[in-house]
Amino acid sequence: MLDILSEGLIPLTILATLVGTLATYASSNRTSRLVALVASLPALAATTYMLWKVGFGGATYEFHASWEWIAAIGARLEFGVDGLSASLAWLTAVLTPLVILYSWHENTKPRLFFALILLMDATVLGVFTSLDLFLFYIFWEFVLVPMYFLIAVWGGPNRKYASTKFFVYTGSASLVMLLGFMALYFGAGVGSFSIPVLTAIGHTLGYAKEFAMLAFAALAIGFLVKMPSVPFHTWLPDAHVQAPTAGSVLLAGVLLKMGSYGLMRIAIPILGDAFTAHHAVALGPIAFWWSYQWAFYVLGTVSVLYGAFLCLAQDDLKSLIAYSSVSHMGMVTLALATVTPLGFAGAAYMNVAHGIIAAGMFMAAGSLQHSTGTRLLSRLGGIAPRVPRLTGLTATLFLASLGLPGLMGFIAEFTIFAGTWQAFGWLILIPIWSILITAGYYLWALQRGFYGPEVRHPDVDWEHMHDVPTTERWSMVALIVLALVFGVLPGLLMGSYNAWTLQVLALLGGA
Amino acid sequence: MADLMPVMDGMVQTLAGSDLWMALAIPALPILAALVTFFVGKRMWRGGAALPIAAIAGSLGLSLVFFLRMLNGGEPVGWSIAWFKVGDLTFTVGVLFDNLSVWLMTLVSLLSLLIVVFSTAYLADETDEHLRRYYAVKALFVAGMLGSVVMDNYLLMFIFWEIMGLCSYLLIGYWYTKASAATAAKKAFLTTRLGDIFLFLGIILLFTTFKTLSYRELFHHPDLAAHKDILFWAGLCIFGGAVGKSAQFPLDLWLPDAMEGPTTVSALIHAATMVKAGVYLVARTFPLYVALGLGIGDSVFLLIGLVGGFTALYTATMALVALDIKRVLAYSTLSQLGYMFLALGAGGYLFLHTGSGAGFTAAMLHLMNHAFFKALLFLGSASVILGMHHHQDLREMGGLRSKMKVTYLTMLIGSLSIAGIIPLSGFWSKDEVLSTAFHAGSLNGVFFVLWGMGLLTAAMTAFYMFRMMFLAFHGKPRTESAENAHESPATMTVPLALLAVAAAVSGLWLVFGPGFSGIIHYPYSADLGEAEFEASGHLLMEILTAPLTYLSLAVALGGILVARSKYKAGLPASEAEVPTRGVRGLLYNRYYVTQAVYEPLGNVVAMGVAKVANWFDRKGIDGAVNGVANVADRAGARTRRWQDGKLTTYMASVAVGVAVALFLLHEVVLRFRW
Amino acid sequence: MIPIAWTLTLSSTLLAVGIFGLLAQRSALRILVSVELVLNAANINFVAFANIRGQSQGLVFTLFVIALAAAEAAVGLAILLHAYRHVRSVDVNKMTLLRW
Repeated sequence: MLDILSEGLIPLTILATLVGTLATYASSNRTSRLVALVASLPALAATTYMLWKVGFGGATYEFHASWEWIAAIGARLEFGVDGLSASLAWLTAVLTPLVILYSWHENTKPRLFFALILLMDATVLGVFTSLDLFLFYIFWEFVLVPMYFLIAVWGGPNRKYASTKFFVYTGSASLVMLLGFMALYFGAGVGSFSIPVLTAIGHTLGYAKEFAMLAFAALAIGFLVKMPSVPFHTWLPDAHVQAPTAGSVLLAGVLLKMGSYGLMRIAIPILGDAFTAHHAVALGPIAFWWSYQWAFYVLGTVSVLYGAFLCLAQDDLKSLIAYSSVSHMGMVTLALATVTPLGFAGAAYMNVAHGIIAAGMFMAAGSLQHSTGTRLLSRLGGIAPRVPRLTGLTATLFLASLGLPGLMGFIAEFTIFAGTWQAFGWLILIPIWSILITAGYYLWALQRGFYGPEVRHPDVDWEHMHDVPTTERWSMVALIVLALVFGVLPGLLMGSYNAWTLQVLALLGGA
Repeated sequence: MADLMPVMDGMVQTLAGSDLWMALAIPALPILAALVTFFVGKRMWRGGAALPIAAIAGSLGLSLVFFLRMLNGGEPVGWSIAWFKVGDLTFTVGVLFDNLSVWLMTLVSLLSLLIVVFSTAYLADETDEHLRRYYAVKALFVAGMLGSVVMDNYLLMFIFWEIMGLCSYLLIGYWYTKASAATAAKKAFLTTRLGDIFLFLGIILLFTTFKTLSYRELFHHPDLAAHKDILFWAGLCIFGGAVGKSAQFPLDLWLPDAMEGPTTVSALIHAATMVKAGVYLVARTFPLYVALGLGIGDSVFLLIGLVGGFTALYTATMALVALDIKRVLAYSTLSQLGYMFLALGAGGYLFLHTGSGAGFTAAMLHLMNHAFFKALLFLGSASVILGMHHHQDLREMGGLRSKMKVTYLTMLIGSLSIAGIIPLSGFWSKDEVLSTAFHAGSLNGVFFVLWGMGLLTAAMTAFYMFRMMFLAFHGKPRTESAENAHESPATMTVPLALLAVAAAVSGLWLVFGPGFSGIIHYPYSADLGEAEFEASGHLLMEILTAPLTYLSLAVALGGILVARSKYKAGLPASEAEVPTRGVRGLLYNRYYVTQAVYEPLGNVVAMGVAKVANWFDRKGIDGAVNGVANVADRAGARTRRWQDGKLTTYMASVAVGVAVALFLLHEVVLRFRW
Repeated sequence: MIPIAWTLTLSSTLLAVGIFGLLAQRSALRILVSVELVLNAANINFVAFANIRGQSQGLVFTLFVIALAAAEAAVGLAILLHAYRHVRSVDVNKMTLLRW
């Protein structure tokens, strides 16, 4: 029989959340939010348990379930978590109830709204826990559906453009990724989509060199578009600005992590040799070499700096936070390029850190819109005395994002830059200035929007300006507390990352 | 059970039992107070002052315990545990209580206590709602400073260092509805962040090369000599962090603007404690610089001395024409900090060549003395500002001597001390600093130039401090506020008096009793090598018989006399207006460095790049994306015209299709004979 | 016997006229008539070839086609009647809802 507490836990959790989706849709408009909140809790409990179990475990997959599914092509129903995915699954399960709590007063089609949030929860959990490429792809594509509807139905004025752009852009990148998956499948020749099996094959027999290079490129394109990395990032600002707050939170909090997770789970472990291999190129008299690792350094550095500079020029607060997401995920790309324990642990840590902090920042932007009627910083000014709690929460979240020690972001940044120095030496001097620029744009945004003397603009409703309401406030406080806890006790998460880091590096460093 | 005896652990005895609790409580108490005050402070006395005062008093008491032990010849003690692991590298948390940290933490707690008590009266007319923010952040700041000083590794020090930066930001922008305050806070944070990037890089360099950040392990690391190049760059980066935090040139622009915050904030953060953190950092890193050896180490110390000496003179010139009482004090802080770095630089140079730790001691002594008299001067100016009903402009003051006697007397002591008049504290430390520079000058001519700059600065310091004193307290009251000025309440005058006593006598520690250099010397922990210091009585004779001493005294007196002749009668007509032209305009506008360098960098370069990037992103990258979509759209638009709904068109399509199919079939059949 | 070439010419001509009518007429009635023309052209072909070869299959086909043409004309006219009620005209250019 199925052992609930080990192999059955993950499929049951996903199934339970899907049932919750249906239950939410089937309930009435008033009770749907409560049903949704309750339905999101089993996932939270299960993933917390999994994270705790994995935190002290070894490098193998825990809660490993593997059942035959489509024997004709070798696709199996395979689930499992290890140090890397347990924290991401937990992040998803934590953000969902907080998002539901934040959107408690949503009154446009609430049944569908909350059902879609739960559907996102289930499908993203599926992405983070599936260990079979076929299954992974199904969940990956399925994630696009609830997000598309969230943006298209509850979004801002330009939502049709934004939702379609999001869907088509990331969907077509996924097709390229599918090519990569097919390449891995056929190249291995064992008729299996299973990630552990392919990782072992990639490490021992290896794929043919040219083939592996192309396969890696295909996979990388799919994942980099999702992260998003410059130059594939332009879907993100539109999607974020037009999405409702719940959509933005989940988009920034978990969807973006799927991209980096894919790189960390699939592309780099299986095709590690292709990732680090050097290729000599001669263009006339100029001869140099390149590798995907260096390409990732370039992409990462460009994303970090370009994203940061773009934030300086933004007027819409949500657009600013969107570009800061580009910048922070650029740091993850940079970290992956380092191929060191510090870098990889930093990448995993930044994933969770950014997930928590960016989620909070988007909530703050949403609250700003509710309170004042606008998100445009040029129309605001001096609202701090009217919305002191919102100011305090926003300032705290901004400080967390710019890497203030004591909060999670600092640990992530420190380990990432330490790894960058180890791998690239003095080239660290290019991306490291982002620390200053990041502080610059956040503090300037605070000053423009919240501090200083009052700026009375006709678009801003000063009559009805009220401070952030309870449900919104407590969601943000919960996220700040998490950022604080993991900033002061990083060992809680680092323990789970260390085993994974060393395992992946062994795959890369070996044959 | 409480274990009172520290356990032996090789180099440094490990703290255990109640000692450990006491040690950890020193930075922990203010943090707890900050948290509680922030959330429930509104309903407490004076908007939440009680808990921070109690906590800081507690920290002071505990610090005194360790301080007295140290005075009685106690050994350094420490403690550390693992914090988290990444791969096979471990980060630790721990404390180190050696001479340097114990002395500094006692100094910091004492000053913080006096200043927080003072602020209960100074900010009496603020609303309680806002005051809890003030007290909570003040308490957090004190925790940050104490933490920076007692932690035993660079990473933890950096963490508390940044917390101090955060508190500085929050407190400068305390009155956040003022545009100038918000701007000043942002400027402070960003400038120190620039310095912090260097410190961050330095820490990364050290960690990745030596696999540890603990002071004890680093300073005794066997591979130090093998990695001199890394050590050089790491050392420079660490100094870069100090330059930012202590506002030395070229990162000095934030400190004068930081005067936007309440004066008690300026007193605590920007005079007495936070800006000293940079000096502490360089002092703490001394062994690494020394490990660089002759040659490389020389150039690093030369650089430190150069930055310090230059800043001292550069900022002193700006104080000559300042019109805001707080600005005068801000510039003077920058200048005195320059002295400390000059002493460290010259002292390090001397140590490398002669083994004399006099410079190190001079810098630390000046740190202590400056903390006392600068805090005194700032609190005194706060008293003046309060008495003047929140007017700070020197041109509006005058004749306050008769109306604010205690303030006048205490500030007079402070000014005499900073000018360096015997036997007040400033004299002893300034003289030591200058003599260190002079002696280093015999080894390297640059230090001789720096000594000259230091001497000139001393003259200017005496001049502008007494210009301030004469303009504020002497002559006739120039405005109504000055007419109606009144003395401040006891909560303010008592700390002033206490600080005046300290400012007067703290320097005497150098030459009486066991001598300051018996406690604070380099190397500063018994386990770090042989101690070398000069006996105190001997030192007194040396000072009194050296001609240099009388030279600096004469220079100081000269400065005071010139100030007296110009300002005793009151405000000269030439200084009634804000200077805009000529030399005075140049000095008043701080050599236009901000306008010429920083503003263009920020507003033009950074924003320019940002705007170009924004345009490129929208039109270029997104344009390409939209372009692809456009092409698909237009191709579709062309093709779908075929579907026009007309029956006849569709039938024509069928006919054409059939004809084509028949033709192809015919060709295929003929060709391949299927 | 009538030379087969003339019969074929006749049926081709009728086919061409019929197809032209199908593709180029505006009136739905004329299109239906053109359909009849095309079908009759095919019928002539069938009869001619049945005659030449002396077999009866062609004639059977003809009978089928005649019956089918009648049925199809009936259905076509019924559809046209309904369409007329909506569009008030027999002009096919007015019935263009099945477009992009």
